[in-house]
Amino acid sequence: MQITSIRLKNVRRFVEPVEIAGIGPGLNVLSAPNEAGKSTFFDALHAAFFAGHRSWDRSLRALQPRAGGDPQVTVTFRAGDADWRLRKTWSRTASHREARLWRDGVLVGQGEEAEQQLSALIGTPADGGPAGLLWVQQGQVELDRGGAEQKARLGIMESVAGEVEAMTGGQRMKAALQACEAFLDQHLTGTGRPKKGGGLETVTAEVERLAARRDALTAQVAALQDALDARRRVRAELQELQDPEAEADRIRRRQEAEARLKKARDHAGRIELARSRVAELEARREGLTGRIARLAAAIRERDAARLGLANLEIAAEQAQKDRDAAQADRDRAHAALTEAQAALEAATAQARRAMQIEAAAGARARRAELADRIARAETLRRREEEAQAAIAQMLPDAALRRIEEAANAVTLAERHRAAAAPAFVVHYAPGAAGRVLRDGAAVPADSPQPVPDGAELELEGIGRLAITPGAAAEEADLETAKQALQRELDAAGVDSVEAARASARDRRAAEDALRGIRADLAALAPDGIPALREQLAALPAPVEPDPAVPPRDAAEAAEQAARAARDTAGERFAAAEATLATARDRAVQAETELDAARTRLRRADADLGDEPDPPARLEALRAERAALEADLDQARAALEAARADAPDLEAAETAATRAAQAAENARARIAQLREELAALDARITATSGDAPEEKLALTLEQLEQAEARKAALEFEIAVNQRLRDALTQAQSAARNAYVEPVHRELAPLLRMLWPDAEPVIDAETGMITAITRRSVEEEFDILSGGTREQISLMVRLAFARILADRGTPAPVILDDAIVYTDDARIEQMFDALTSRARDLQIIVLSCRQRAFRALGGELLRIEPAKEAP
Amino acid sequence: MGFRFIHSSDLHLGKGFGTLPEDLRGRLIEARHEVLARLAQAARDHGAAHVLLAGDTFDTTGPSDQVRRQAATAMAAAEGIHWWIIPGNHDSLAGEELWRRFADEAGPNVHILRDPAPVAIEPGVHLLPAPLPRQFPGHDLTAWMDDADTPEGTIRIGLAHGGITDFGEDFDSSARIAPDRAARARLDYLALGDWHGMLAVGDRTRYSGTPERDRFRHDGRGACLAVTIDAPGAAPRIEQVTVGRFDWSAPVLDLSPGEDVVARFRALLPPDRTARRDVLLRVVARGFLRMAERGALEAAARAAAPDFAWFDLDRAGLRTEHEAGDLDLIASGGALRSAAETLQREATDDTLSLERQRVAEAALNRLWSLVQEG
Repeated sequence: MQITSIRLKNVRRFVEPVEIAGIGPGLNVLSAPNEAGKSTFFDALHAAFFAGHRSWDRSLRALQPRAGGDPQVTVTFRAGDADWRLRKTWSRTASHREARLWRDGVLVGQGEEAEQQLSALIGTPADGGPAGLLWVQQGQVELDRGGAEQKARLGIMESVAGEVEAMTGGQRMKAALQACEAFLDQHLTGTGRPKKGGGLETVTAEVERLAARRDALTAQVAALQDALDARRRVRAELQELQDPEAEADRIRRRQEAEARLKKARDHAGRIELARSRVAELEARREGLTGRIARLAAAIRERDAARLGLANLEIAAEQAQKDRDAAQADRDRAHAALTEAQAALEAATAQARRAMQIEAAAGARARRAELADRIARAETLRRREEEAQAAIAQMLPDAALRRIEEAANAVTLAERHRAAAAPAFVVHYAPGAAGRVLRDGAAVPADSPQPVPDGAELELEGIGRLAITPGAAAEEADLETAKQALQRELDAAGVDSVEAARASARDRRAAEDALRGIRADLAALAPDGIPALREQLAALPAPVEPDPAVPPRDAAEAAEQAARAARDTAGERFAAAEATLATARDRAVQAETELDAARTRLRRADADLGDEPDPPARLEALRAERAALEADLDQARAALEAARADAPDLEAAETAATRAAQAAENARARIAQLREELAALDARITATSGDAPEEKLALTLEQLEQAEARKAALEFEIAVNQRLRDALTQAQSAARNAYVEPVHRELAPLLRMLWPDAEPVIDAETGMITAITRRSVEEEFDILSGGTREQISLMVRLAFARILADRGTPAPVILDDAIVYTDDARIEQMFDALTSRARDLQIIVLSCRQRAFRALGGELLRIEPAKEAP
Repeated sequence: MGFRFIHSSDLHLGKGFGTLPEDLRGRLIEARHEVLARLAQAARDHGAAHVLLAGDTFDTTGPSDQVRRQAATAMAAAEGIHWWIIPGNHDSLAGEELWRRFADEAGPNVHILRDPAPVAIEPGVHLLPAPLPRQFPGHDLTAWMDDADTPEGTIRIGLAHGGITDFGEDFDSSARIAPDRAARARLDYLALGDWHGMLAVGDRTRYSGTPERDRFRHDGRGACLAVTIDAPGAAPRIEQVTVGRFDWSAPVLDLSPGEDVVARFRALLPPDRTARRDVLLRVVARGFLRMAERGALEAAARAAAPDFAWFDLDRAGLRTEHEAGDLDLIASGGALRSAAETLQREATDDTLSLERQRVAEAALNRLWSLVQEG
């Protein structure tokens, strides 16, 4: 967007229409003295874009001229590819309020519609960005509600504050947040619980207190109600009990019941008499029946005892006989057994004897074999001794070795001597071959012929030639060696080396023979001859054969037969013994039974006593009982008759007791009820005096009201919490969306003033807190006024660039924004402005006319409006 | 001249008004007590010697000694006036102590009617009372009147307490009074209590309403009825006599955006500002308002409230409409705008619980207020 003109009517001092026209796309400067109305234009422009035409708040009321009238602002601007004209009129009177928007001279919107189109043109707020224009007013201190420490900073940051405000919500956001926090802090702790002494806790406590009171009063009312109900019941019952008719009725019932009881008791007495008579007769009859039965039984017992005794006496006699026969049989069996035992023992002795004879025969052969082995072993031992003696006489191997060594030395010495001996060679002349003879034989031609011991040659035709060798050292050595050999031979007692060797051979043969003898002896007597002799001695003594003893097999068969005979006799004896024992038992038993039968008979006789004629006595008793039976029948009939018409005594007693109790109970109950009534009266009087029902009704209403207050407060807390959260989230999102781009844009701008400057932006407030220059971080607050002012302006330019980059270019409007900057630095500021003005519209309002002359740009003037638009 | 009497009911003496502020409670309680003297005065003003109280003279069966004693004293002090009282559902005969002590304390001109039997209250005039033995009697207590004989040529006046239709609040349908009881029982007049506003049921049956209002259900001040019966069988002449002090009023303010809400609101207020001191006003606002309108309504309500004995703007039925222009009043952009839009979305998001919507709406209104205050 680019503003092209601003026209005011009825705005503060400008009652008559004035305008600033010809505002260009780049840098524009309105340089005018104080009170020329620059800020009025500034405020009016702000209102045109940001105050709805229906508003009539303080800032709009402030636009009104003193003389009254409806402020009207007309702004023309370019946006998109169109020329726009916006006119807004604000008024105390709603019907005068107006907004109109023209596009390329054509009215396109009125009222709310115009506002909406304008919103769309200057940037939709939905993207969270600052809308439309970037500016700063002179002393925009009302933005600051953030406390004393913020205030000082914002005084300088005011030029940035508008942008930061738009970005993060700024002070208004802060104020809203603080208001929410302050409210919540009254009621909740940091962790969101009701705060001690806070409103929520107080009202909650009030609700609880009232609820408790309600419960207590409800209980009290219920108790009172119960007491009233109880009293009603008590009174009703008392009235009923004390009713004279009821009382008379109780007495009458009691008397009647007692009369009925007396009658029933008399009748019961009569029945008792009859019952006694029956019982007496029955007892007598029982007695008689018993006596009859006992007597009859005694007679039967005596007869039975007699008969039993006779039978048993016969049986006992027979048992005696059986026992005696069994005894005899047993004795016979015993004799047979004894005999069979003796025969067995004799057969066993024979068998043992036969076995001994057979064993003795086996020992004889062994004895002969042992004697033979001993004789042969003795022979071998003698041969061993002889061989040992012979070996001792023969040449040992050591002596042979010494002789062999001496003989070798002789041979060696001979060789030495032979090697050292003179030799001759015959070279026969032709035709002379074989004419030199040695020891009769022709000396071979052309070969050396040694002559150690000299020689004598026959030279045919010549004579003899004797060759005598001289005495050489080798001769002496040979002699010494021969002497040494002779000494060894002498020591060994042999004549020659061959004899020595033969003697050694003989000795080894003799040793072989000795080993053979010893092996034989070890085979024959491995444990030595004395062991053989001991074995021989250990053999059983020889037994002589006995013709009377049968062979072992036969003897053992005889023993087997004798044992079988003995076993048979044993069994027979055992059977006889058993038979005897049984017979004895039977005899004893018969005796015992006999004794018992005798005792029984004695007892039966005793039972009958001295009754002379028991059967007759029995008959008499039976007749007596028959008479008694008749009496008993009569008495029973009498009893049944009495019982048949008897009144119910138990019922009569119960009725009488009940009637008496009823009367007594009524008396006691009346006394009790009177006491209860008194107690209830006292309780009711005491309780109802407290008016619990009235208090309960009041408490219920108070509780309802307290609960409503609590609910309202809880809602209010929820509202504040929700608002706080929404604000915090929006603020955080806005910071994320703007802080980084601001830094990116701001850094190159700052470097136009300070080559290595780096801004530090507080993520919390979105404001610049420090800048870094020459690697030193300087707090914004301690920078000079001029520096802070310059930074503020750079920040705004950075914002403008951000908006332009986003496709919503916004004019930058500076209202006396450069106040503290010195003349030297202001040139650099102008450079920055000029460089940015290439792609931004910048409108500078300033009272520093001289200083700003150097800025260049389009010069603006406030002039009376030429014609009504 | 025939027989003339005052018909009243539902005095609810001893009512505590626990939902209202402490200082106002005292005034309301005092007004209830004073209504006894005003009823006596109304009787004198209309030449009547009898005041018929059709039940619920006391708010509970257990009023405080003070309330009971002072009521008895006030009635006894009304010289020349006879009070004929039946217990109602609030002060039924189950409150034995109440009626026993009240009978002891009241003078001979106070008559507690405990039995459903004709009582001659003046020569030629019989009262047929239907006292409530307990809170929920379970049957129509006026039924006996049909067969009740009175001497020929006497005026028959029924006195009963209960609903002829469902009045809500613990209505005992089993004890519903036959609407045509007056005709069936040949009554010249049936004086009823229970309904707190005046209600005519045919020519001869009336609910007098409470003489001193105690709730917002019936607008205006309380009244009693001055009834004249010229002769047995003659149609009663009935005059409503205002005796109440406090005016309980709960007008509904149906609103829609674009209206001059402040003017609409002010039109509801009683023009006489001095009278407002005895007015309890609950303005039941309903419908939709824009934020600024709502702010204006709230401000107007705040400004008006101190005039009244009690004032309440019932906002339960009031919703706020937010439009883009409204949000501009909070912020045209930036984080504040973003927060406002979040809340607006939430307030109109029907997928959320109603509670959350209301919270969001209120939060948005709060934000608007906070920003406006700034």
